Amino acid sequence: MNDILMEVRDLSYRYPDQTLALDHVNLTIRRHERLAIMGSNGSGKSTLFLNLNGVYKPTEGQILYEGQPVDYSRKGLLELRRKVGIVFQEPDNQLFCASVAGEISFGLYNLGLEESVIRARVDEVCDRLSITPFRSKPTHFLSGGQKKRVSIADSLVMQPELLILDEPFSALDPTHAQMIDQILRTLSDSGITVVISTHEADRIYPWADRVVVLNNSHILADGTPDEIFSDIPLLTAANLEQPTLLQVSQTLHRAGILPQNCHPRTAQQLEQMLK
Amino acid sequence: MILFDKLAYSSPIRQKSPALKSLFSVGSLVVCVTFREPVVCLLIFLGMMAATLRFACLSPSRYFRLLLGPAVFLALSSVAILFVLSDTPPQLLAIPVFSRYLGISSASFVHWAQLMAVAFSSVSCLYFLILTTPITDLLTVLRRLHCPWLLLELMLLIYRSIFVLLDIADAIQTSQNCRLGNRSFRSKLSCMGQMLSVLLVRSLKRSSLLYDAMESRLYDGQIRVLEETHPACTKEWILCILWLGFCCALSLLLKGGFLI
Repeated sequence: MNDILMEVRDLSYRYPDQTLALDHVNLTIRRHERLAIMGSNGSGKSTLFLNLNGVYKPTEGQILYEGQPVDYSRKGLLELRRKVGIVFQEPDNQLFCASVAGEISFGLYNLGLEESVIRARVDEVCDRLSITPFRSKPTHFLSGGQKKRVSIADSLVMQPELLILDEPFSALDPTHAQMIDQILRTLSDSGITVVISTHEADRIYPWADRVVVLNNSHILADGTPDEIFSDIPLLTAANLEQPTLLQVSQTLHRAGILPQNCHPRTAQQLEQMLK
Repeated sequence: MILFDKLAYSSPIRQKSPALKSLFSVGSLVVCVTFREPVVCLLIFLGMMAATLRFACLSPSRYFRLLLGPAVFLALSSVAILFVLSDTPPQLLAIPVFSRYLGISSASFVHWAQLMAVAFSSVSCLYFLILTTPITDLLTVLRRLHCPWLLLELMLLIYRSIFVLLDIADAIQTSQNCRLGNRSFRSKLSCMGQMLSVLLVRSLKRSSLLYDAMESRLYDGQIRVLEETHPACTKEWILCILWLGFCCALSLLLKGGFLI
């Protein structure tokens, strides 16, 4: 469990226009964990992700994958990007192809696979993410939730070890958000390390093993969901909210209804504990 | 344009081989343009019309409304061919203009009729193709014909971007209308200008984001994607070739004067 998959050491990133987007960030990502990176808009989450995937090269500092510093040569980047997949926030900025199968297969062709293998993998991921029913539709006729699933399939089909999702719940209706939630769970269960960025505390609280708070290009805190979300001054400083369920259970703790050592992460757990 | 796209995707023969549909349509078009035989053109026009009405999801009245666009364009541009200026009065219609005559001679009328027949049958051929075959399938055909990959990639990206940019343009226009924009001619002009400038900035920003996204999926300078293949059966190929052969043979016979 404590096997470190990726490590970010003292990473700073400055955009060509001199904006400092990340300032001496330190972060470790452990194998098979569910890590949530929380921060308000413009806190540097997306920039951090593009650094992790090697699209941006750190201005200062180092990124290590499985203990080895990232190699920024063509071959090294190929290897890194095969292992680390990113799903971007806005599907319209990611989907470039009008056909669903074409879109999903793009990364596989770049890996240099055989067409028969590509076809099989695309079929499999379409089944897994329930894309098959709308597979023959063009991407511009898909709904927001369907586009989101296709964009997840884009990366998932490359069978990454680490999957990064930037704001996977933004602009989705509850049904689709729940569907994405379900997909995230099956991903971690199948052994993929999942990192997501969000500011929806309620969605992240039951899911995450660990929460990292990013604010103004710095890492403010790193801990378990209970530690992070109980720290009110921290949440205020980072413009974040406390999960509703945690507020409820704290009220119940104070009222003496719920034992102090009980920390329900879902409404069902709370119900069980109250019985 | 979006209408054509929607219709193409909902066509009942969308899953059929795009190569077959292209051969049927472009082959017929080549026959029309090569032989310029009005009777054959009429036959092809009727055939294409029947095929389009049968295999594309649209009503006859809508089909004729779609044909109206090219019809107006053709009518306006063919006036110069229909009318001639001559010293002797033309046979069909003669309007004296000073010492000469402006009118329609039988030769110019035949020429005009031939041109209209060729033009309309060609339009009907292309309508059949675009109303039953989405652009992505056409790209597959072009790729098999060894069209340069740079051109194909541009088509792929532009086709997708059109829809994304149209969405943005639509949203901007709605937000302008909500705040009482586009009320007078003047404000329409300024709103349009603002929209276009925002659209340019957004598309530049978007292109850099898209590049990052492609880069993260190992983009190496060339776009290769999976194409959904729908092979056609031999019977369909034979029917298509018979149709083209029949049109060619009929044209040759008419050209040689064997039938008249």
